[in-house]
This record gives sequence, structure tokens and C-alpha cells, in this order.
Amino acid sequence: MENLNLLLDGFSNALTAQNLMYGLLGTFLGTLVGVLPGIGPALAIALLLPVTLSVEPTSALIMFAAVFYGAMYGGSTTSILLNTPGEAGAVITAVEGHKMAKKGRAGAALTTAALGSFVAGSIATMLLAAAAPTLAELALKVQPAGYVALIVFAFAAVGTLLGSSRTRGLISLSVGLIIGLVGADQQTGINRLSFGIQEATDGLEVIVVIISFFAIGEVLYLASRFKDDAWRVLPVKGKVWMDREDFRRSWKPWLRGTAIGFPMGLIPAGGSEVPTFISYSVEKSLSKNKEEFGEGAIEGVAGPEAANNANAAGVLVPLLALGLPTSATAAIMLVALRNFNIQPGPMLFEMNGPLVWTLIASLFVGNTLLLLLNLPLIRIWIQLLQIPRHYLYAGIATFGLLGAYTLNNSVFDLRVALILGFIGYLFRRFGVPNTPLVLGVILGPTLEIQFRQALQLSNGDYSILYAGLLPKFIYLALFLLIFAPNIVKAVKKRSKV
Amino acid sequence: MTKVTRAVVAEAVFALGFLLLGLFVLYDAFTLEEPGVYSVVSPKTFEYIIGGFATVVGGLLILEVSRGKYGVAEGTEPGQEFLPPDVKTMSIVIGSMLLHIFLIEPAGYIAAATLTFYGVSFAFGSRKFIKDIALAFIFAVVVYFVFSKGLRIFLPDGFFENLLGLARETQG
Repeated sequence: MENLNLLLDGFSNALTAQNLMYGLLGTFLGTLVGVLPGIGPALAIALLLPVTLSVEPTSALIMFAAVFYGAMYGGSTTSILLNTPGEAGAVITAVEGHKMAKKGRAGAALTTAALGSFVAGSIATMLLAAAAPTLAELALKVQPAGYVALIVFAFAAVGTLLGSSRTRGLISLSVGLIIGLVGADQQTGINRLSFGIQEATDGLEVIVVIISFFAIGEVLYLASRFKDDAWRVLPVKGKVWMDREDFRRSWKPWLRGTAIGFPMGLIPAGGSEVPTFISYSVEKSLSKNKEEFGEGAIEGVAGPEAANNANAAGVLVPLLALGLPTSATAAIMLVALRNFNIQPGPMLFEMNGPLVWTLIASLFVGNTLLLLLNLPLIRIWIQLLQIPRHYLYAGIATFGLLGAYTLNNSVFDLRVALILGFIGYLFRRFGVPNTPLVLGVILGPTLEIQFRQALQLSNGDYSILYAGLLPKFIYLALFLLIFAPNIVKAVKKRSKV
Repeated sequence: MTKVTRAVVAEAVFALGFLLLGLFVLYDAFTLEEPGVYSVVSPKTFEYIIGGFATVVGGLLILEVSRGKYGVAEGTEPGQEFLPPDVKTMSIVIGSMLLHIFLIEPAGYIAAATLTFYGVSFAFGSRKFIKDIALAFIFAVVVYFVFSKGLRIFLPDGFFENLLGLARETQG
């Protein structure tokens, strides 16, 4: 009950005329950038971060929440009309939604995506408001060694579950950890990997790293494959709205998608890919019209879209309560919150109570504004997809460099961005995923702090790292996560002999 | 079985690069100046751990590549042959970004951004000089105006900023 009152206070902070204006602006900008092909939600938020930093914290939070939802929705629009998913969680939407669009049902696909995201976002934010403070309270008891175990678990899960190859996921993670090492050590001030460069001693900015890998790397990769594989935007014919039949077929998938997406966001196991796939196969097996799946079934858009959005809100629970981001988008969120002087973690609700509840209220408001703004504006967003490719990439490159420069007004950051952008190109070329890298950069330094604290408590005795119930439990789970496929295989082999 | 193609050589070089990166981090940790005061854990320890991790993973990748398991480039299917990169287009894009880095502070934001935008759109095949350069200029001016005037985020002033009378007043 107390939390409900705090949430209501959050709403009254968020709902001023001025903040609503910022919210609308955020929704508009978020969708605008998110709808551009090649820009996924993570990059959209990273690019727009400088914009939100120039206004006062409460307004910035609501603007940021609006950008978050706008970017997610913009991404699904592009997936449906262009079949170019901006992130792993939108792959299913791209496949099934694009098929619907080809049949001339783009309007219904876009609307079920918008309404599904709204329903899932609202329910998931409510669950977030209930779960995060509880988890934070439990987390107060977690010792540094427990944190070390949690971070190692998140690393292993994200590194090995994403992408096609475990080794390549771990490569990405190790590069991220190395980038995180650059600069002066937090405790002794000794410079690691900074080559005597003055600017490098402050470390590399996470946002610069993200912009380099997602924007510059993407443009370079597209340039390397520049041959005329021009895309074609599918027209939105007929009415934009869904009919009664579409509704009847959509509302259950929305709810089921939410139920699948949210809990899977809580586990630091990385990515919205798995929940959207599960939601898709659940809808397919429950559907009476199975033959439509793969040919443009509305359930196949409604369920995964809801799962994707609910998952994004679920990921915020470990982010807020433990300070542990498990997706690229959450990692940027963490950077942004630190910039607003909000330090996610177990103490968050005690230290920054009012601001956090304002953030949660802002998520509700942002989600609602998105629905109000975007359903009437769908046709305008579609126009954006008609931008010729060469101008689009020119815009992404120039805007990416702008984002890298404005953080510190430093040419050094631009040089870093170009070098890391080239590595980002190599990652794409050789099938190395980006997300583990982002987590390595942001959680590497946190891991070192917790690692040090643990060993200080034990006076250098390394056995503290697996002392106690929680670390043991986490390492066991980690072992199962990594070796379960091998164990299952071995058991099957034996039972056959 | 495996033919040694350009793509295979590229894979091997890529994998080797990570092994070397890991070894380099270990070397950096080894040569780090000895800190005078620290409590229990030296800054070297963590760098050794990460360097060791990177070296091991780099070694694993080399092993994987030597067994013929290659990376799947984004937007392609496993097994699909990868075309050699379009070096010309890439060079123009990289060159345009380098211009940005060199010009942004001496020549001002608008000049640098106009050239970068134009260069990248040229690289991606646009050949309408007047239209492209005009669009690039408008893009740069709008961005400059929104960021510098609207959001009060600093962007360097230069030739065009002074010409258009947009530059902030310099003090002293």
C-alpha cells in the first residue's frame, strides 16, 4: 500500500503540463529515430541521450521513458513494413508482420503491434512497480561475493546464449571487458591500457562505445556490402484500424505474450529473442488456423510483440533492484540513470525514492502517450521509410559522430568512435554479437569493485568467492546453463547403447 | 576438404587478432607500475584475469576456425559464400568520417557535418551534386541550430556559424 502511495506521488510529479510536453517530444523523437531502418531501440536511445540530458531530471526522466517506448514501437513498424528487424526481439515480428503487409494487411499488423505493446507495457510496468522494491529489499542482504557470482552468471548467460556461436559471444564479452579496463584504476589511480594518452585516463565513455558499435559499425558494414539490394517499402492499403475479428484473435496473444515476456526478463539470461520465439510457438500450437502461421497470422504478430515489450519492462527489474543490466537497451538505461544521479541497486528505493517512482510513473505515461500519438500518425511514420538509402546512412553516420562528440566535446571521443566502429564492422562481418560487449564494458568495472570488496572482507582469501549459499547456488545454475546441452546429449547416447 | 579462400584467411587473421589482444593485455598488466598503496587486491589482479580470459577465448576461436567453423556474417545464411568487401565504398565512408574529426574544431560544426553527410551519401551512390550538398548543408544547419541554440549543447563554431551570425558571443 505504501508503494502505491509512492507511485501516486510519482504520477503527480510526472503529470505536469511541462513534463507532458517533454513526454510528447520524447515519444515523437523516439519513434522518429526508431523507425529509421538500421537503428534499433538501443541505438535510438543512445543517440537521443544527449537531448534528454539538457533538461531537469524529472522532465528528462519522462522524456527518456517516452523515447524508450517510442524507439521500441518505431522498430516494430520498420520490421513489419521493411522486414529489417533492428534487434533480435523483433525478428519474429519482421517475419510474420511482413507477410501480413504483403497480403495488404499492414494496417492491422501495425495496430495489433501498437495495442499489444501498450497492453503488455502497462501490465508489465505494474508488475515492475510491485517486484522491483521487493527484490531490492532481498538484495540488501547480498554480499559482494554474491554480486560477483551474479555478474559472472549474467556474463556467461549473455555471452553463450546469444548468437550462433558460444565462442564468438565470449569474444565479444572479452573485448567489452578490455574496453572497460581502459583508464585509471578506481582505487589506486594507476593507468591501465591508456598508452599515455591524457584523455584515455578517464576511461572510454559507454555511450561512445555503443554509438560506435551500433551506428558507425553498421554504416561501415552496409558500405562493405554495397550492392544494389535495394529494399522496398510495402504500402499500407485500406484502413489502418483492426476489425472485430482481428481483436478477437489478438487479445489472448497479448496477454499470453506478457505472461511469457515479463518473467523471462527477470532472469539475467539475456535477450528478448527467446521469449518472442516461445510466444510465437505457443500461439502457433494454440491456434485453430495453424496453416496461417508463416503466411501472416495476426496472432504471430500480437503475441511476440507483447512478449518483446513485457520483456523490456521485466529487464528493468534486475536493472533497478540490483543494478544489473542484461540487455543492450538496459545498459544504456543504466548510463542514463547515472547521469541523472540515480544509482540503480538495492539502495535505490531508499536513496532516490521519489525519482524512481517518478520514473516508473513516467513509463506508464510514456506508454500511453505513445498509443495516443502513434495511431493517428502511422501514415507519417511510413513516409519516413521512403527516405533514400544514401541520405539515411549519411544521416546515421553524421548523427552518430554528433552523439560521440557532444558527450565531452572531445575530438578524442570521435577518434575512439571511428576505431571502435571499425571493430564493430569486423564483428558484423565475422558473426560476433554486440550485446555481450556492451555488458562487458558497463559491468566489468562493477565486477572489479565487488571482487575487491569481497577479497577485502576475507583479507585476500579467495574461498570467500564461493562461500555461502547464494554464490554456490548461482554457480551451480551457471554450470547447468552451460553444460546442460552436453549432459542431455551424453545421457541420450548412453541410453541408446 | 577446406579450400583456402580469401574468406578463410580473413577468419584466421581475425581469430589470431583476439589471441594477440589477450596477450597484449597480459603484457600490459605485467609491465604496470607497482602501485604504492592498495588494500588487498592490486589493480594488476583484475587485468590479469581479463587478459587471461581474452587469451583463452582467442585460443578457442582459433581452434574453432581451424576446424572449419566460420562466422556467419550478419544478414547472410550459414554456408553462404561471403563476397569480398566493397573497399571503395568503405574507404569513402571512412574518409568522410576522418574529415569530420579533422575539421570539426578548426572549421566549425556546420562545415564538418556538411562534408561528412555529402561524402557518405556519395559513397552510397548518390550523384546529384547540387541536391546532395544542399541537403547536407540544411541537415548540418538544422542540427547545429537545434543542439546549439535549442538544447544549449556546445558545438564548435567556425566559418559558416560566423557567416550566418549564429556563433555564440565570445567573451574577452
